[in-house]
Amino acid sequence: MSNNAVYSLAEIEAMARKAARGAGYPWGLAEEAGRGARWLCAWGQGGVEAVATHLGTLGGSEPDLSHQREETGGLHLTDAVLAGALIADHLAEGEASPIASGVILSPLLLGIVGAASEVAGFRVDLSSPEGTYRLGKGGPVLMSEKAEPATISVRVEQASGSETASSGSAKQWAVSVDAAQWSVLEGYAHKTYVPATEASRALGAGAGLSDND
Amino acid sequence: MSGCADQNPMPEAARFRRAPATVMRLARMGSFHQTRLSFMRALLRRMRRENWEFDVPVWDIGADGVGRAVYRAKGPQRTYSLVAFAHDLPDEMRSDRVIATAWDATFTLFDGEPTTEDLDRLEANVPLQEAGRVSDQELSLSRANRSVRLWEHVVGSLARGEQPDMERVYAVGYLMRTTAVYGSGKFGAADRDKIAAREELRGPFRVEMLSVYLTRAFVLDLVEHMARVRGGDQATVLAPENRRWFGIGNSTGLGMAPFLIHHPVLLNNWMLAREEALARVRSQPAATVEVFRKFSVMVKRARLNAEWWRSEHPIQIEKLTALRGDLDQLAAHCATFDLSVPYPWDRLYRWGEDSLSLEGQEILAALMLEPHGALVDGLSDCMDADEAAPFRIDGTMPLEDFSALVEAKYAWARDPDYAARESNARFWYVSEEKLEPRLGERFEEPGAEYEQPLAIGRDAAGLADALDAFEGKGACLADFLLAHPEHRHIARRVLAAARHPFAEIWDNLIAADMLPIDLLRCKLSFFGANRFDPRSDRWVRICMFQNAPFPQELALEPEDDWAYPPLEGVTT
Repeated sequence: MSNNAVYSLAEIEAMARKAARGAGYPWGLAEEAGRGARWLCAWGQGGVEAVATHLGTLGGSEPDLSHQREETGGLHLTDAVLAGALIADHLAEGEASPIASGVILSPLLLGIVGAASEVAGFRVDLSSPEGTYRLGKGGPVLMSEKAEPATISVRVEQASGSETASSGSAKQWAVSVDAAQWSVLEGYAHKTYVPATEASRALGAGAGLSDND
Repeated sequence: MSGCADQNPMPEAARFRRAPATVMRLARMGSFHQTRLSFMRALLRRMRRENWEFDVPVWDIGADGVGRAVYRAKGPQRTYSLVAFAHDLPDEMRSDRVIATAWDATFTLFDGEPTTEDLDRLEANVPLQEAGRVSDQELSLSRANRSVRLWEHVVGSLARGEQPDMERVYAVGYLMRTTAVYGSGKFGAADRDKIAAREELRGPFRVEMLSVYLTRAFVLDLVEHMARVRGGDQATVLAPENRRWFGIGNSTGLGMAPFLIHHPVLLNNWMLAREEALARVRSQPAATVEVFRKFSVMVKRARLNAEWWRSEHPIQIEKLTALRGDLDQLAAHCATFDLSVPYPWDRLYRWGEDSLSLEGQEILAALMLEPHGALVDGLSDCMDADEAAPFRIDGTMPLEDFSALVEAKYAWARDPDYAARESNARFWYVSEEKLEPRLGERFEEPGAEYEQPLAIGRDAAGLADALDAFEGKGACLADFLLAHPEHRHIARRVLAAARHPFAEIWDNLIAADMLPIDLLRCKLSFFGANRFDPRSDRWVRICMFQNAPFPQELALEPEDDWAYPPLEGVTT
């Protein structure tokens, strides 16, 4: 019997955001991770697992948010959250990619770009050496596993209003989450909580006053 | 004419609108009062207009006051049910603080009509509150504690066949106060996305307000039940005119304070609706004697409310003294006011700006809306917010344009000297103990490295400095954020503030002298709360739905005439 619990999208987004912050992302990027997890879960894909897996790849270190210019002028960076945010920031109709190399199209990256593309009303195809994913209504769909040239490409089109979910799944607002994956996120999120001290207890709202009145 | 479907239905009102620099200040926001646009009032107007039906299909409360009940509200589209659990709480366990683990009563608003199996499932979870789990069949989770002295007085009086001493009722205002009302998506409850498209829940916090409205009905039924148990044949019920005076209390601490900061677009829409309403009234070229008479009666009713509004907090005592004086002055001014002047409402408002305290100016603004329902009530449909679209950063914006935005929208943020201790004295954090927002002293307590992103002014000033230092001619916003991901959160806010003039509070939220109760009062006034009674600088008690018709009375009473107490012998 699986050890699952049902969480609302709001809970999932908040937990993913806190976990990413706890893992060392600044708030603005942690928020992207939260939105990405929410978007994946809304389409029935493993948003919690995507965040847990990604944070696990950091191996306990702070995320590497650096980037380099290659000799060709292209941008090289490796962090999936930063890359997802950068691609999301550059979404505009046409074909272009702000990133040349270094990035793996992880589920969390796809979630971050997918969330932004849905809000912007775009359908986005993301290609990398591992294959091509389409991000639209229905969540990320693997279109082709064919190896593309060793660069990242982004193709953006206006999503048509009548477009049906390509994965056939319907949007949901509460999802069953594996308890082990959830507790991974809780572990990271916990780092953002501040333990109580005598001083903070004494200053707490309503502390020391009787409510029997 | 009064809706928000048209983009700008009353362009002539624009020049009467107050500026964000005037309105978005904590001292003023901390002096707000409920208005016609408040969520409780808008909810009751809708339910009355739509002829909602109310009943109590389950009442299973024993002689010990323990058990469960269901309060059903049937609208044109759907039915909602408040599921209430009454408990036997020893006095020593009664605490309004969020760290409490037991309460006098616990509640959830069920989406539809619960079966016995649903009730059994909820009985195993709802009494545990945060320690239990609800499902997406539930829309809220809340609890309430008794006002011990008033509860005992009312049970005792009714059991003896007597009415309670109403002076005591006027002063306290409620038999139970809620200590948390959790809504969308908390503890497994339905995500806001599930209900966002429902017409009857259009507007912010409708679920929570409906839950509290039905909770008030339950609490009054429960107190009469307990009196019957104690007094038997001798017991009586509350006279209808006395019963109305019982609202429902609420006790709210810091947990609620960051909400307005976390939801800048929502805050903008609340403020904009309220400011637009005031501007519309001020833009009326003339006033009729009849409308002005209605206004003058409301001034008297507000004065009566201020009379019964009690607080032991030194700040609020001072504000209340000023408010009572202001209302007396306003009543006297009304008696001699020359209605024939052009734009009389604007004239009156401007008189208030010169003559009244902030409490007085804000009650004047609220009262001016009262006789103008047709002009302003439609604005209550404009207070929702799409928060997904403003989340997206358009990184293709030229950095030059973005810098200009920061300059234009956040000049206020550069005023404080954040290097000075008193300007950087606090930090907002989430407590490990209860996972609730708290306010720490930066230079005395640990934990500032995980500060919540609520120091908007300081962060905007930091962003402005980083933009000044950034070298990259012709760069776009995404280039800057790639180099400075630490400014991504505040950059997102800047883009939202560009389109939403009332999105930011123009004050330093980490200053040594910042009062969290100002944030609480602002939010609670939008709910429709009354009788703000701070218990410290970070905790406030309020009263809700006092004088409101009970569910069964809603259709029979005049529309939306309950928010100020009635004057004996005065009809409006």
